[in-house]
Amino acid sequence: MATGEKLELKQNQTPEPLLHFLRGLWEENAVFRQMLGMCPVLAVTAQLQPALTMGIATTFVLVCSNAVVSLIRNLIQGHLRILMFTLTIATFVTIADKLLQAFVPAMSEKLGPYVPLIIVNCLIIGRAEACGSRKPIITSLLDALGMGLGFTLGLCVLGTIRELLADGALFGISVLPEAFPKWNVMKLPAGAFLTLGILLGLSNHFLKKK
Amino acid sequence: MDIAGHLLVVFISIALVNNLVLTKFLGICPYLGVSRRVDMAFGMGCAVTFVITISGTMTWLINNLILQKIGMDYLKYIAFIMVIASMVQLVEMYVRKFFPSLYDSFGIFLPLIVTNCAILGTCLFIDLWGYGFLEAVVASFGAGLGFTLAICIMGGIRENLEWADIPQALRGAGITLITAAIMTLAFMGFSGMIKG
Amino acid sequence: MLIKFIRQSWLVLVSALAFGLLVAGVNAALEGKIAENARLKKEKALKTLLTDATSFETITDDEGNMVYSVGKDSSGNIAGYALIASGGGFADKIELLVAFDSEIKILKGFYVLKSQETPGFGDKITHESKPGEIGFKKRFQDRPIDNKLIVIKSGNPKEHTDDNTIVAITGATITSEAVTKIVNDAAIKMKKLLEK
Repeated sequence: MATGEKLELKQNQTPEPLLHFLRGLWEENAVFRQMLGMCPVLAVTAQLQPALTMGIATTFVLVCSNAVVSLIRNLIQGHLRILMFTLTIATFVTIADKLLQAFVPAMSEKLGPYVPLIIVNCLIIGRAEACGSRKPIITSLLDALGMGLGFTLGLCVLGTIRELLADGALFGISVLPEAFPKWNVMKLPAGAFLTLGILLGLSNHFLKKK
Repeated sequence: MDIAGHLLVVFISIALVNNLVLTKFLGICPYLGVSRRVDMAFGMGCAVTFVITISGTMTWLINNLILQKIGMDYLKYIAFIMVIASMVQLVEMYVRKFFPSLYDSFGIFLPLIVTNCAILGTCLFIDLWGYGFLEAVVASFGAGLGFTLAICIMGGIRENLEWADIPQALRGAGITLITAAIMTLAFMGFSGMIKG
Repeated sequence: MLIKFIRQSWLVLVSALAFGLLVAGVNAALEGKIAENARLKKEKALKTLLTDATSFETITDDEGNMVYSVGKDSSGNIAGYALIASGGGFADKIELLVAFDSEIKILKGFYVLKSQETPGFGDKITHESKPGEIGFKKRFQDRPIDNKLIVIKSGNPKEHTDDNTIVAITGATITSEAVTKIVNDAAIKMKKLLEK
């Protein structure tokens, strides 16, 4: 597998920032490996488009807040650090929310309160703690970008499977023949849990043994 | 409808019909993470109910009495999360000082609660639904109880699952998610309970 | 004491100020566009319902909330009225924009502003009709509403287009009844508003 080769290569001499970037994409993928930020993964993936929008918004917040935290990392007092992290994250989430409302109002409406809920996405605060507050800015930026893209990837995989099975469509456009029996359960909350559960099982079965 | 009846509807609606965990996907992290045993699940549920009731009420007051009045509701999210974070901190200090035995049983969960989306989610939904003060108090308490109910049922099921022969790959998170899927189907039975 | 306090927390205070200004700036820059989006959305909804109207006038109460809208055609005659109405659905509150002709005798139809109805069943209230089929939304278009509309559980929608019966969505009777009730109530409310 292509991903496997990349993993082996980078262990030898890839520079640190790049290493962080690649790790976020698969090896420590937020959705399938670390199981972080589960609410949006389940809540907005009934269709591909909101899933993608959510992924991009989360990546934006992750990159911005990780960069800011990294810039002020030497000034932060230990016991006030969680407060500083949440303050930074909440600021960028508000900005992301306003941008969505202004430029993609339909999506903003569909995602509803799940946009502000990015604030409490454990993925973001986790990265601020583990990387932003320790590493210089370039590493933090790439780390956040990798994690964010990995997260977006996870959301899109779920969104694709659920929309395809539930509506026979992608991005709202029918791609499967009319005769395809629509799996209504995939649109329901149950479909979200079921798809993720089975995907995790499959990824464990095929990937962990190596 | 009289006030008491209306509040009961609000309560049932958020605790069962629109259960946070099972229909709104809020608080999934602790739901999957801390539900291995019933007693732990119950401890987490109590801590969440406690904090959710206080912060739901506090954020309603701040949002409606301060932010809306001075036209600064764009600071809403920042204000909400700050209230929750400081509430959690205060509650933790208070409980540790005055109820050490209680602290031992659920205090360890308190720091985790800041990033529990159920809390912020409840505050946001109360704002979205345009609830009044009494409704907000009842709804936030109901939300906490609904969370406790969901996580305790899951804890009970998982205790029994330990003895089941589950395919290797599905052990842990996989089977928990599939169990959750079946639970959401069961909870769908509550929909339509409230009319008009 | 004060100096110790400031040394501990200056960063939090300074950044709170900086972030506050940043958010205020973004809000000021985008506020106009967001308000414009909301206006466009409402106008689009009004246009799909009152097809003859070319301009819309919103009647507001003392606090500036919309009471109803009047649609006028190109020569200035009243083409119809529309108002926002809501009620409890199967899962959560349903909010509709309901439109009538100029004499409140004919229902022009409804547009779903907010609904959380079950995907695949109740959410069919938001769908457009496929060719050759009378979808749920279409069943309400151009209905006489001198009598209350009533829901029947089964039947061919094509045979019930000009009496006062609405064929329910299969598997979503409660949602169908909820929508019909909202529409009926809206008709009564609209008549009262115009009598004033």
